[in-house]
Amino acid sequence: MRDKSGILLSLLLSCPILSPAVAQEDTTGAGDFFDDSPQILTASRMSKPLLESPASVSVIDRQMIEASGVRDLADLFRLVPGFVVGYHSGHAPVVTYLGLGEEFGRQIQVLVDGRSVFIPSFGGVPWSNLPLLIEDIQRIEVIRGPNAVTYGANAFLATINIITRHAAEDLGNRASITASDNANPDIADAYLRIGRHHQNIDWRLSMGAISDDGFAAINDSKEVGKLNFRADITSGSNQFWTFQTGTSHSSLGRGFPREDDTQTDVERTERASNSYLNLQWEGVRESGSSIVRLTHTRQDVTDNYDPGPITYDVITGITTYIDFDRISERSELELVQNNEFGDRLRLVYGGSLRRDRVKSIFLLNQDDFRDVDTGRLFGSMEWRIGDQWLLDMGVMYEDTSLTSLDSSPRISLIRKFGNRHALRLVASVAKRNPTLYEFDGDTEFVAEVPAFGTVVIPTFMGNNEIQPEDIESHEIGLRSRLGGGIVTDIKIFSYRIENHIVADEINVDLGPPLNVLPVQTSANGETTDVGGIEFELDYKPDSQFRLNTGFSLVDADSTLAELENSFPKHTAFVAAQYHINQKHEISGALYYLDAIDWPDGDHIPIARRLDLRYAYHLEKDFSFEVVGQNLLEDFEDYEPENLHQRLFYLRLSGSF
Amino acid sequence: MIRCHRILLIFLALVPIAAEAGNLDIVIVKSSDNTYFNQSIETLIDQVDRAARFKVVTSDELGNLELDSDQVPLFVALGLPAARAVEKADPGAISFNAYLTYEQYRELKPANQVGVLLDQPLYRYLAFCKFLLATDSVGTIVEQPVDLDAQESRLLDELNLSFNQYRVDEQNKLLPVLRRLLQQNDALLMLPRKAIFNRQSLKGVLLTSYRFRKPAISYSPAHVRAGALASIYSSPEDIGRHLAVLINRLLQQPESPLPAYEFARFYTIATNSRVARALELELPGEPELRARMELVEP
Repeated sequence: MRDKSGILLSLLLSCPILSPAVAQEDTTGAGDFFDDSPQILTASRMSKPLLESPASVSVIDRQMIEASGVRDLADLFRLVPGFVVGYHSGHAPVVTYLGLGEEFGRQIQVLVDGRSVFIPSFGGVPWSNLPLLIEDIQRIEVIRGPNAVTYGANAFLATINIITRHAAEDLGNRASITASDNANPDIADAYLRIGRHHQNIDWRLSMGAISDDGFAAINDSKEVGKLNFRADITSGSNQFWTFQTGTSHSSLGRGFPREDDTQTDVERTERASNSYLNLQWEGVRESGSSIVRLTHTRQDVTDNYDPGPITYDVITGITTYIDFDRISERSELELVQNNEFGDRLRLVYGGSLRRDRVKSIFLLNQDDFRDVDTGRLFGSMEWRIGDQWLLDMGVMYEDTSLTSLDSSPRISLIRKFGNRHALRLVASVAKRNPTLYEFDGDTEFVAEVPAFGTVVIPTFMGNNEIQPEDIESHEIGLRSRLGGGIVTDIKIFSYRIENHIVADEINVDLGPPLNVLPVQTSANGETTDVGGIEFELDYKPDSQFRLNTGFSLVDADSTLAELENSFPKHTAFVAAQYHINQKHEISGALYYLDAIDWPDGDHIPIARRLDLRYAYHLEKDFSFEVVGQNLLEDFEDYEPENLHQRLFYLRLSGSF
Repeated sequence: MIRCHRILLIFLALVPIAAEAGNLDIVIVKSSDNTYFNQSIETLIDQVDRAARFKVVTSDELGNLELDSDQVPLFVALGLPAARAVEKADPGAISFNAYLTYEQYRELKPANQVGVLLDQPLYRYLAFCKFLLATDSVGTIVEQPVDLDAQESRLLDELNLSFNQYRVDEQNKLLPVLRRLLQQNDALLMLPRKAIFNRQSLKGVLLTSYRFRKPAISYSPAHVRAGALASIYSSPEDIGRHLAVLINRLLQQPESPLPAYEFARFYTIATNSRVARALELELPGEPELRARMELVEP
């Protein structure tokens, strides 16, 4: 097998790539000048000018990604004002906007090239084993605030839109290795990319391996292998196909060393695989475009074990088998129409059909798939009133088999002052639909109790009456392009979140010997008002130097203290990059996170983190980097035993 | 074979040709029946001063051409296949060869053919970049760096513009070189170099430039439709006008020497407002741009 894969790799690497030396067809000079050429920068490929965006958008571009030197995708979101990043364990980062962060967070929509990576069963995003390599990312657009009109329900607090590079930009071969010399975490990463062009097809194959030991005190090591393929095909001058598929396989450390007989969360290894398919067709016309997208994502988790004999109260020798295995699938067919009527009016509308499937004895107490179907219709209108006013109105209707039809409208008014300043007023409503677990979960603890036999203890029961969470948002923002390469954005916002889906208890009579026991369930209740200010600055005076900084000041007031304390009052970051000359480059970032109570974690005091990076660029696109993370004092994250310690690693990368 | 008297071989720029009085036979040879060739022909015919008899043929039809008189015709070839066809049919004939890039003209090694090039002179590309974008640095990609002449160097000083050339070869591939260029310059200037900027590479070039948020300025209006920010080029009408100017000068002053080639005299500007908006660039209006460009014309 090894020999065959080696031969295959050799064949792939030896494929001729497009290079200037390859002979070109003998077209006349006239043809190159005047013949029809396919549109490459279509409206859908070009982001809307940030000055005219009807939402607060932060962009993490490729330059920022490389300057950060980070290995974990989640760490990039420390560069967005108001975002909170924590690590539930070394391989389970939590990313949230403003607050309400949990390991299986449900308030943020995350998309990769238009495909949702939200896990429909339990919620959350498997950041560490997403089949996505940081090296393939072109840019990340982060919409701070609700945006259901564009991205559907669950674009509740924020939306993260990760965009990978077009295959035509990655022709040739590139590789990198990253390693540390620390005992913890012991890092070993590798990346290989092959890109080729054949007539009207560009394709890219990228693969990577990521491994480290996680935090020193807990069993949270990770080993992840990832493989991605992307093909971009041009058909005629105005039709484009994109085909993407990929998979990741991971081994993740879970649990804790067994210290006594009451413990069930013992050390073990969870295995997970994540696979996807994304097929997109885009047709471009003079007055707009059409996109049809078919996506499928599947996550398989294998985590079952015998925790050993358990003692409960005075009863010893209880045996059980814990089965957290689960399969989640999401399939979606989406159509988006973009029509322009002159320079003044643009309509974007469309719809999607989605099926989520979950199979899990642990979550649903059944061995069959449970389906949830969702239909969505959306439309928005952008109307230029004169040269300086822009009115944007939109609405989304969504109907799921769990809840009833709901709508999420948005309206925004932008007043431009020339092409340098834009004042935006935005009001919107969004919903966060319950997950299948919250709606229909049914978990039990089954044990063999000496002298009693089999005992079944329900631990969670879903609530079929649960309603979506609601958020109503108002914001005023000012984006400015000042002279000298300075771009700023300041926003004052007010959100009201109602009908939080929170944990509740109901009493269930289990008969003797357990009789009446409280069982967890989910229920609507609680209200949170969040207000604050966010500021962001991007300073690029020339090609040598760049500074990004941002901060947020947040005030949360909730009917439930646990929710209120999950909103840190301040977050801030400063990141800078300086090219000393063509060979030497330095960059660094300082992050600040105020004290926070993680809802499924602990109280964590103020955290400050300093990262520094030095890069030496050799000829022919080779570079050598030294990255130091957590260079200030050690700090806790999520739980007191999750201690970020000083860390150094080296990275060697190059094209060949 | 064209039935006419063969004329002596003439070394261009040294020996003037003599046009006989009376009607002039002008044979226009086009490489194909494309719209842009026909537009140039229409403009040319409209703007030639003297009475002339025009014959328009494609390069395939040239071999069967019969002229009404024994006078030596003047050939106008549009495109490389037409230029080759004229040279093959009558190597001694004088012809004005349009729709050639400088690269193609040099490959042709013409003996008696005046090149009317598609290329703008370099100083015009540079001035266009400066006045369009108010940029300080522009980079281009070449196989062989070009030495700037005194006029071009002086212009760069006056414009306070840095012009950087990046070389590609077997060791230095296009996209890595392009990425380096985009990191170090404010804009990409695409010059007509077939081996570098062509249909196959265009996608990667434009996408990478956009990703770096740097505008691409091109020699081709087709590239602007594809996603370049702007182009300065000679339209079919501009080419027709240029040919007419040269022919009229020849007719009026037959003794004056002809140049071996001329860069484009007349130009048209194309911009992509969508790309400009996406890059948040405010472009000057064309009248203002042209007024500033005129100041740098010799």
